[in-house]
Amino acid sequence: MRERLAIAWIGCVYGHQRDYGGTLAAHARAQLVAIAERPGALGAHVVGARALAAERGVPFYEDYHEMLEKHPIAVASVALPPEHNVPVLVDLARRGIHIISEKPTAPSAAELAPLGAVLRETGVRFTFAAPATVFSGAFRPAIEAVERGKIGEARTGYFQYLQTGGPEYTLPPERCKEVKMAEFGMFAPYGVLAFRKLMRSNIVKVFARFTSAFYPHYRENGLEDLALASVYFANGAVGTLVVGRTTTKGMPQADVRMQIFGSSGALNINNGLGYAINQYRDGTHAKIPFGSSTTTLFIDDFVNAIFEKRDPVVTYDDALQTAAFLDASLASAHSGCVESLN
Amino acid sequence: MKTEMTKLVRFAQLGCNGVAHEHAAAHRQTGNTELKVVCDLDGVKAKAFAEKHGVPEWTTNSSDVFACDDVDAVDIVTSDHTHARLSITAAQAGKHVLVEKPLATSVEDADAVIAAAAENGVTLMCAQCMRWDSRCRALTEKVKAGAIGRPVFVRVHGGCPPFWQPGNWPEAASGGKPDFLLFREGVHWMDWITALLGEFPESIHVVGHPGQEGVPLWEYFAVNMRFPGGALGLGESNRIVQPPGYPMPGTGVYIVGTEGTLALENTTDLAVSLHTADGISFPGSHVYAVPMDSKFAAEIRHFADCVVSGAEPDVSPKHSRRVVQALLAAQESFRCGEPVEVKYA
Repeated sequence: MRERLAIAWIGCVYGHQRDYGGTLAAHARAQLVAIAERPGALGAHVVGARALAAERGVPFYEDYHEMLEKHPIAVASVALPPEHNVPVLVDLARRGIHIISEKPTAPSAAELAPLGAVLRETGVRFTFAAPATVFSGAFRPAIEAVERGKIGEARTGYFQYLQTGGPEYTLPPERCKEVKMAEFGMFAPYGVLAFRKLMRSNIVKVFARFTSAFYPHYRENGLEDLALASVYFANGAVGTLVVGRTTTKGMPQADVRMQIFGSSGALNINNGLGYAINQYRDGTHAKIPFGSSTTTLFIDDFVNAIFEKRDPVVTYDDALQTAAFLDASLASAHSGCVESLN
Repeated sequence: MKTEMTKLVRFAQLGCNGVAHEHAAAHRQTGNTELKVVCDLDGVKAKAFAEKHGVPEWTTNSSDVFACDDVDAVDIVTSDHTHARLSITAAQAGKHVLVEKPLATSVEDADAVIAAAAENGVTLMCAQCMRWDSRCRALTEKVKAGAIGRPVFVRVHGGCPPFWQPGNWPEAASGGKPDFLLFREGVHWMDWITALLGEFPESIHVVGHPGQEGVPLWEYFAVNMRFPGGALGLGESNRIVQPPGYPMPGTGVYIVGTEGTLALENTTDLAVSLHTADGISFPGSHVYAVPMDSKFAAEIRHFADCVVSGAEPDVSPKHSRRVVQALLAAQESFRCGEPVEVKYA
């Protein structure tokens, strides 16, 4: 009989556990054994996590330490507010527990950095939940095409991730007082990953504009629901990133678009029109439809990485670059200047 | 001075290159203009152009045009750096002026053109063909009608052949300036976006890419803009060589409003898609085609109507002046690598 990984969910914010945690729990080589919160979690979060445990028929612990004393956990799916995330991740990694984290993983790159040292020491596998622009049916073949040199060296990139259907799923007003970033922190990671995989170069500088275009409770708290960022890559390429949560109804859940012009071809990804990739080369135009198994592929890769003792496709380095990008973008939005990524 | 005309506004066209052919062809479709004479420094080219488009006369001397009593208006389709000088001379000769974009290459020159037109009582309009593109007009009408609420983000992008090659790029027209494209192509979307929003960007930041080796002109610019009302804008000027089969020419427009989204897709069928709270889902019947007619004919027809009526054209000289100012700020941002704040007179 094949080994099954004992899974725990820690924290249940943002619906992360229903999607990623649920897919992990349903994996043939995994089994959900308990759900826990962090000490000092908000009452509403505790109530929500307890309800999920009851729904799943597994024990609930208000303090995840108690859970770890009673259950030998192999993998934790962690969905905590970013300001509380890293200490828990570091603690788990020191105990040899593999981790899937919700994004943003940390309030800043500096606060995330201690996790990297522990991961290197322990060999624990880590990933974070932003698979849409890596594992989706649109982006997988796009990444493959780029890796095979189909468009040559990327020169310019445009990435758009506009979640639709707001104000549903906006941050509640009380949470707006605690965070320094709203929708940019939620959706820019998709862009950073897409750029890293498709432009094949790191972002080194950014100029970002944040605005509150849609939601009064964001505006009152100086938070952004729409952002436009110009990015510079290490290889001289340039790009633009547009992310936000709009009120538009009747579109796909997220209107994701990406165009890359390379030295010998172009890629156009567009989920708004029902097909995903338009690849133009040598007079041919290939359309590749979207798949629907993004989360499954993401979880499969992570579970396989654990058993195969390799890095997952979405790595700690991706998380660190994402955090550095968020830092620099926030700084730029406030300073009105181009900012370098540390 | 208001020109007394019974039927047709009689035009002279200065310049016989590139889009000049589109203008000459459009004069046959307007119904209210007549192209009487064409002028180009190259006599062989002027003669061939006149023959191709059925224009009765041609000349190599612009002074002949300005002195001609049979000409009511000039259509200036020459290199950018000549626009101001020719426009001023034409206005001083009492000719109404339709001048290709940009109105001028400096704010001072733009002011001089506007002053010359005002002093001589002639109609002045910058030819911004995107304003008369039927798809773009459909977008504008939807926005003005409130279909998506207040616009908060506008993106205009696309590419336009012919693409440059080493040894085959517009050396004379560009003067070899790396940011030539930023002005040349940017004048399209800067005019259109600002007309759509009814305001000009107060902050402009530019990134660019040089493109292929062997061409000194940079081939890509992305202009990141913030407007006084809070809207964000992105205009892209793109001559990155695009592969065979990529849909060209193509202008893509994406507008997000407080109550919906409008998209003009340039990579699929040329249609406008409308997404609103009505719950129309994608893909489906919400994609509607817009009939295409000649944007150049519509543009020239409008100008001729204004000449006859004395009304101010939809593309006002003041607006075109501000477009020049915004694009100069974009060039400054490109050179300094930082955002540039703009205050408009």
